Amino acid sequence: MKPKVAFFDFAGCEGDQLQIANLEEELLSLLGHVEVVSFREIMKEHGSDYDIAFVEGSCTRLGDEDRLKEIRKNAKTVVAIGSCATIGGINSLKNDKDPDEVGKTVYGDKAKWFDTYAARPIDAVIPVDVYVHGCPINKDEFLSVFKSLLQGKKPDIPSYPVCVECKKNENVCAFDRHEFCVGPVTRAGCNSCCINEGTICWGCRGLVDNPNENAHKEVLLKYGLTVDETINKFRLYFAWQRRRK
Amino acid sequence: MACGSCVLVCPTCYCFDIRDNPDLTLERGERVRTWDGCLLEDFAKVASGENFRPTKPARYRHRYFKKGKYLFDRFGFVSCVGCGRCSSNCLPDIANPVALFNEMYQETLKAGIEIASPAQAEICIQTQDKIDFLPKLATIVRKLPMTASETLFEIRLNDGTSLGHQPGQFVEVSVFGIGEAPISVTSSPTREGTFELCVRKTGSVTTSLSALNIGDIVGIRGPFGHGFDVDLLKGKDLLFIAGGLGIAPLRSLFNYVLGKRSEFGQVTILYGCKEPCELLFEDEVMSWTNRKDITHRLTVDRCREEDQWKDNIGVITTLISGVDFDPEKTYAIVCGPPIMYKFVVKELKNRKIPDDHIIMSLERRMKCGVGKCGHCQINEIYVCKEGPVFNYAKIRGVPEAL
Repeated sequence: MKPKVAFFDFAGCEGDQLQIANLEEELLSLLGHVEVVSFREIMKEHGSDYDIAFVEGSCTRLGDEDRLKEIRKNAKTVVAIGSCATIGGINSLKNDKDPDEVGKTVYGDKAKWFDTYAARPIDAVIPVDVYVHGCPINKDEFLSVFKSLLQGKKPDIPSYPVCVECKKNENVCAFDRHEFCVGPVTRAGCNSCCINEGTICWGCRGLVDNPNENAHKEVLLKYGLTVDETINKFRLYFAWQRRRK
Repeated sequence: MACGSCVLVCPTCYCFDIRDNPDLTLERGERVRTWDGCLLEDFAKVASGENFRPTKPARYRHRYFKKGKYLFDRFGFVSCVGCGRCSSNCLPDIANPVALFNEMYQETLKAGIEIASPAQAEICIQTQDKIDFLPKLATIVRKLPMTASETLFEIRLNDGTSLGHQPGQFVEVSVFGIGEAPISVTSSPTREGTFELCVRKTGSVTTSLSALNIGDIVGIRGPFGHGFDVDLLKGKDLLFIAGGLGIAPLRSLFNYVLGKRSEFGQVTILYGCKEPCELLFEDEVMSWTNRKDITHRLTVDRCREEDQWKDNIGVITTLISGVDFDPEKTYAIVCGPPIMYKFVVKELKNRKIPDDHIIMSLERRMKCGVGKCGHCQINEIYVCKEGPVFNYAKIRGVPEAL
């Protein structure tokens, strides 16, 4: 029997599901192996009987926790897709600020109607089996994880940093271009796509398991970043991961 | 910083990894070789989670020793060409092997130390087709679940040949589309036509393998490595010490010895596992009781009352003190989880067994099996070629060994 899959979204831009919808031809081949019961970006039906749940977005409201727990109860496998779901993402930037201030900036005088709390990845609420990192996720990596799930194999999620892929792609180091990059402490798997295009790594895939942050901070300072700028580099995507340590 | 940049840009670094990439049909696919590097965290990590080079300094040490010593000893030249790629790519400016090796060379000149070149450099250029990378197809002919996580498979090569292994050697088993894993052969070479593998569900390959059934096809490469030196052991007293799954490689020698019992002296086997339900080869273990020509002792780390366990409770070392042997005539043959060796060796040395009478089979990440990919190295030693069976006298004092 084909495994049933469902897609869910929480606080996020739904850009990861868009990446999946954009698989186009490959998506058709994938659909031969599974039955999609819920995916609001591409279909109007919705079912609650599923084996694999793909969850996008971070949890930013107490009320979202029940929905997440319900998903965990129904699904055999929960896959977090995208930075918001895997590491708290950009949403966690607000965690460093005064919540009342944040509420006022976003919702103005209606802030009291919105019950939000510190943004968190979904594994802060429910156990997660598989992570597909990235902002947005990398289509090739999603396909490889999807195939591994179908084969019952542990997906190959790299434990090494972006520098490894960047060197394989023979890029000029961002630091040699007088730019600052968090690739040395960020988990690879994206095929160093941003640096390939001439920019820098912002760290959307989160920190590697054992990052040498102190050495990296020294490098940033040595190359001329101020302490505040260095902290900001680490805050953009790593806010939740660093607070938890 | 552990970013791995230096090993990725080094023109003399050659370590690689191998992955199976199925296509979207999940029925076809390719097996690809990708770059890997000894500075990366998971380089020496095996499926059970054991990382044999767990710290950043240990990995850094390995890289410098490999460039400056291990390859020098083998080929007669330092394996740094002085290109400066690693140092120019190193953000924290810690990679500079050229300066280091030059400085060391000047120091040796100053001190008047003669650097011994290897007597005969072992240079042989192998073409791709001469290396044993292509698996032979084989069929599962018997499957026997032994515990909740271990299964015994009997396998026959499809070309009809025997595997032709020595006791203690291993094979690389492919589950197509998933990958390849090294598994020691557990049957004695005296069995012809088929061979047996005892597989514990641990990583992706072994989990998928455990789900296969009679008639399913797997890929086999090998046998690889250096097994037990049977001729050395002939006429000697043998003390087998097996912990957990360590019984699997030892069984290939043990059953060989039982088959040619008159050629060996006294035989004792000590076998321990965590709990009674994890005991492997239970029927065979029970049959040892009826044999007058061997002594055996069993132990478990812990047990519950309902297990009705009648033998010893405690770690494997507690059994060693209870057996009599003549240290000069006895060879101890040890295999078990990595943590076990240190304690067993200590206990054996207390009992005055000479170092060269301790023989052990070690676990490492033997990815390619042919001494090319670099994952299984203990210092300069390729476990897949010179091991997995080692004489303790050879590896004692080697920093990464035990």
